Amino acid sequence: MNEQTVQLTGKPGQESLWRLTWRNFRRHHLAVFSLVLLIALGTMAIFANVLAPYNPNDIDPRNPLVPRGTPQPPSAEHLFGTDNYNRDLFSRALYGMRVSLGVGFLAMLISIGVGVLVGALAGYAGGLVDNVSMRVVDVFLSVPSFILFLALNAILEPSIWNIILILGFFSWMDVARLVRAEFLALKESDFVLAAHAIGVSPRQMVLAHLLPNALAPIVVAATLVVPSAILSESALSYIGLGVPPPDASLGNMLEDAKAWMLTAWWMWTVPGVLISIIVLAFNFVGDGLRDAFDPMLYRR
Amino acid sequence: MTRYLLRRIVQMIPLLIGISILAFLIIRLAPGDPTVVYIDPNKPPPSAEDLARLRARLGMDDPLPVQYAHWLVNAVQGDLGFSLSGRRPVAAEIGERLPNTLLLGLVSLLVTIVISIPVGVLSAVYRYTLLDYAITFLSFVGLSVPGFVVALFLIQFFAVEMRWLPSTGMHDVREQYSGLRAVLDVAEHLVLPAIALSAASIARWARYQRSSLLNVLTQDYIRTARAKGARERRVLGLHALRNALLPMITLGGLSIPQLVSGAFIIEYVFGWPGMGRLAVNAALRRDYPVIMGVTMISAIFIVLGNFLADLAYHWADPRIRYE
Repeated sequence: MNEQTVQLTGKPGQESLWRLTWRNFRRHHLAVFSLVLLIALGTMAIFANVLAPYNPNDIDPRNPLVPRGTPQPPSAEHLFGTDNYNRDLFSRALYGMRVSLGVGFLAMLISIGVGVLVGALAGYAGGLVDNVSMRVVDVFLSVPSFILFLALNAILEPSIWNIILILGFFSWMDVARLVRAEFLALKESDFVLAAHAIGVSPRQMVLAHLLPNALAPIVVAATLVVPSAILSESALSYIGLGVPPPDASLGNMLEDAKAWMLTAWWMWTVPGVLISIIVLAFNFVGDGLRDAFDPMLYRR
Repeated sequence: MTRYLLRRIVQMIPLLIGISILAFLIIRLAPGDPTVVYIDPNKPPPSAEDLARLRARLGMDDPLPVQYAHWLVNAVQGDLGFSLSGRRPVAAEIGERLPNTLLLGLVSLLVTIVISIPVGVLSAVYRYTLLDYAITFLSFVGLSVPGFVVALFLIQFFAVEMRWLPSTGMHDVREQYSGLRAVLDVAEHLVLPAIALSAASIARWARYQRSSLLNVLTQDYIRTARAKGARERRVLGLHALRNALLPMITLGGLSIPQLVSGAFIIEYVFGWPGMGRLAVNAALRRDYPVIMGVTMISAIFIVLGNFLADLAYHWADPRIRYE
């Protein structure tokens, strides 16, 4: 009979899931590259006030006499050129990224909060609560939300916070469904039955036993809520019902470019390319995470 | 089957009522006085009594549930209220725009199907080749570039630089075409909006088709078909593709809300005279009855689309049995 040494370390279960996931994730070169890119862009956005060469809302100090001048093409002085108010587009892009990423991130936090709450309640309580919650999810999924975004933004005072709230409260449905499905499956598992048997309180059950095991789909869904919120924000700002001027967001920079389509290509290329890169990177990271969390795909 | 049909149709009603309550609450609970839309800025401001009379006539002094019940009873009878800014019934405004939106939506759906399915099949059949990687990368790009940025790019390139296609509206305003020429005129105006609207769904559908076909190709009956010596063409076309198309039906139903939302902004960018432009203008002017009407008509199409997708799925896959 062979002797086998088994090493037991602290908390094997939890640790190995995250380590396994990270190991799988690293194989997705595109996802890793996207993650690095997002961290870099996020850092630039956070330090926009340090990195921006000009005040993003100031007209070009060198041209104080031309407040409504023609946009200047990219040059050494203005890396991305200027817009029609002679504001430096590089500085505006940095601040716009800060707003767009912030809106996406905070809307994601709201949608995770609401989604986990509803999904956990429905999945844990079951019965009537479950039924009613899922009908509410159906309603939110079938409502043409973009019209209501438009209406709400027109009715409420235009502000970044309102946009975050609106986008967050209309994007929690997928999270709720995932959490509910996960809870329903977990409720039948042996460890939950065992926990019940030893008299674990409902609160403890949800927080300590069910939720940690439902974390993987939540993380993937969270990663994918951010880009869709950024896309909605930019569409709303483009219509003029989003982030109010003069503050820059990638969407309202596109709105500014509307009248200058023919003459100043850089005005719409800069925000357009930035939005696309950010959304693309989030999609790649989400895809990589989904694959990395899926044990069927990689376990050998 | 009949019982299933009936049950599904009956289920649509509470869903639509739920949607209408949600929309009604959002629109009515928001601060702001809708009577301001009625006030003509060129005339002397109305007296407080006039405003009170107007509020009473619009039923805005009633409690919310009463207002909602009032709206619902009228809406069921086809009366969606009176457009404050258009100064005519909402139903007439929507009726005028709906065919244009449907035209744009259906053409985009057709473009999506015709392009995405062959592309997805190619990507799956030649998986892990350069072609597959190129298609995958392009689909991610298609998913990531916002529809209206695609629209801006199309306008810049095809309308401004090349002058091949018109960039705005639905008809050439300089000409009065009739007959076939008029149809061609509309078709010409439709090309760019339809491409912009379908870009994202083409990408999504192609990815879906790829993974669905890859899934089917690992099934035992495909190996059986190959083992008995069927040619690859036959295996793909007859055995694999038919089964791989099934999930696409569900995806079709699920895509309708995105198509509706996408249509709104695309219509705005291209000046397409559809419901989306109506909704944007209504939102900007706080024209509540129009917002409510457009929301409900779009919701009906979304709910109906899901229902039809379910039916199509049932028809295509006899293994599915509904009680």
